[in-house]
Amino acid sequence: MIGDGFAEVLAAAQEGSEAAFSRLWRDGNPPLLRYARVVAAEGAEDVAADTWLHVVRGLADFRGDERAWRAWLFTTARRRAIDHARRRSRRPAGPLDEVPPGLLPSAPDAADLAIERISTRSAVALLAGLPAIQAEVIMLRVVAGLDTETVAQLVGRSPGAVRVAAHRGLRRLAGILAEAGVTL
Amino acid sequence: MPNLPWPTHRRGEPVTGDPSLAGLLAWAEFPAGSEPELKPVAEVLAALTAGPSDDELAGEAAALAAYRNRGSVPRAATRARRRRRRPLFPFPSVRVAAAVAGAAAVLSVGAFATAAYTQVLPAPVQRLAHAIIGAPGAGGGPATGPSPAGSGATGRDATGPGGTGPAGGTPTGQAQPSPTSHVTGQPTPQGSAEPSTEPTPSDSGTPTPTKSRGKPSTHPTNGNGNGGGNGNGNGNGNKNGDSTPTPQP
Repeated sequence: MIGDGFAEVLAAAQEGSEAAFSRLWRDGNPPLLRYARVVAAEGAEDVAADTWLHVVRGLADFRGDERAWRAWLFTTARRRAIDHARRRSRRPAGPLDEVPPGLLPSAPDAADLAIERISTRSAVALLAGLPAIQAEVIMLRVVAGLDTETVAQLVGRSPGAVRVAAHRGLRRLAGILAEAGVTL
Repeated sequence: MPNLPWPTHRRGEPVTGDPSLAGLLAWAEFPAGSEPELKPVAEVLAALTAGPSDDELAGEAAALAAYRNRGSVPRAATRARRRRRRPLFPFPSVRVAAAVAGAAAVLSVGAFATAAYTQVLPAPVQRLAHAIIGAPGAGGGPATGPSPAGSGATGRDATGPGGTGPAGGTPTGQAQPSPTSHVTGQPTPQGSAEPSTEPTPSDSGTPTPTKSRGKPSTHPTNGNGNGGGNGNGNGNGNKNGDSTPTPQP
């Protein structure tokens, strides 16, 4: 989060300051990419790049504080992820044995989780293993830093449903970690 | 009533309180006093909010390039500039002249149409008007036929039995289709017909569906002394309104 200086940074970026835009990007892209890795899996980079293209186009018209900025950023990302999923569904999928092993998605090994500090990538992979709505809600609450009401608007559900999905997701996550014997 | 234990969690899932979970979501760290089962979850959430890695900042150059290509001019200014269009007539005098010319054209067309429908134009021009705007033909002349029944009943019911009834007409007093009768189904002003004094089956004032299907003949040669066979003499329009006059020159 940029914090108090957000309004000045945003105004400068809207006026054409590359440094200001760079600051917005460096603040927004890591959580955006993590969110995209959960909701769009291997298309995350494309989704993030598409999102920034849209943000750049609409930047001059954006009005609001940092919370609204984040909400807009992740709303755009969510739409791009949906578009990406639609495009993928239209394309025929190739057999897995033709995909290079390095490109295959991999879940974190429980032993790795147990012996070393959980990395961001492992955490993202763990979240991606949850049911879609639970994972998305947790990512929007924790990574994007949005409150329950904003998340509810973003995913088109009631705040109560968002709360329930988040709590269920966390419980399930705790169960997965307990089964793996992770005790920190 | 048996006191059954209500399952509060699924099998294999640790029992966690909602306040603890809410605290985890809000702060992404392990809240004091929370269940120890939540500690790994808190670690996962903390890892999700950790600082950026190199690969997460790798696309900055591309993002900056996109930002640069969008141009440094704010979009609002571009839009405002786009909105400012060059007027069609840049000078006021030209605008006034154009307005006057437009008004004159409208008036001319209106006067021409009025003259055409009152049939005061010269024959060739009247024929032209007939062909273009459906004005009465040149040969017809004004509907001044003495027939009270046949000459003026130009409503949609023009083929009603009244037209073949005893009401007399003149050859020149044909039923003429008029634009107003197309629309309203009422007798036109040019129709001098009064309601027939001789009762016919259609004189009841309520057109019957069988009478309304026909097309009013507008051929000038239809003037057969009985109002062209077209008038029903009662001047009543057709409520159904599905007959379409077919003007013929």
